[in-house]
Amino acid sequence: MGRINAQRVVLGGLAAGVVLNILQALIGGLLTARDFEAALAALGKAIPQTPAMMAYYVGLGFVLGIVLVWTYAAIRPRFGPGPRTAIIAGLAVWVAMGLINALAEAPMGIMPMRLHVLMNVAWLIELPLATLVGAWVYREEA
Amino acid sequence: MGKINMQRVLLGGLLAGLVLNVVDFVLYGVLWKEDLAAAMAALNKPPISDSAIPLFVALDFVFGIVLVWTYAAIRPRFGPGPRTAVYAGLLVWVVAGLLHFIGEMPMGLWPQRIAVMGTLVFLVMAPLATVVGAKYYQEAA
Repeated sequence: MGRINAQRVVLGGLAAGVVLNILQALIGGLLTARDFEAALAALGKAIPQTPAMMAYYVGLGFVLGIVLVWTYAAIRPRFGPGPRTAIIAGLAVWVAMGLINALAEAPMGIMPMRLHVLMNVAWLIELPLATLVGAWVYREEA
Repeated sequence: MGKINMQRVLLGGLLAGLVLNVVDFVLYGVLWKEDLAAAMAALNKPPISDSAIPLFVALDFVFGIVLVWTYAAIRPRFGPGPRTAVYAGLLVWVVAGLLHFIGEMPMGLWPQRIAVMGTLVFLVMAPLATVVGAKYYQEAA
């Protein structure tokens, strides 16, 4: 099996990152922003609303996009190239990043259950969609 | 490429989960128990209830299964063996540990020491558990 095409992982990852950041602003903003701010405020915490912090999270979106496309590339020989494998990669990342973390953190009662559910619904939509776009850019030599 | 051997994913995953449970028990149940209670108190929350322990134990087994599934999924790309198991563990660590840590850091929910140490321990624990679980994962040639 050939090596992962790292250049295409980065290129596809940046495309996935654009999708993630847009979807996070739209879906995440609509679904979770108010609950999230309220939950942090209830703990006496807040994320500073500064351009630097916005850049921090946008950058994190691009890093996550690259991880999504790397995951797609890594499982591609197993499941074959194409959108089905991209969705599997997105769902696998969602399980590890979103679902299990939410299940582990929910009993601590730090964040409201509703917020865990809403964030996971958002990621369940965002991660496979972003991987689909990134995987569309990813190429390998035959 | 053949299908993933789900029976072996479950078997290896349970073994990987056992490793995770042992490490988590020692760390969060013994060594850092007081630190965690203090961190929860700083958030005006009660200590984590003992009634949540069965859920954490079950989640570690689920996590073990995720680790070995990841190993099985990337195995055709990198070949069978411990090197690929380490890759799988590192991938899951990046997704579930590192990115989670980076995402939560600005919120200041947890004391820096616990957050950093927990992420670093996970960096060792995830590949280690995957190597153990992957040892029992097999596929028809």
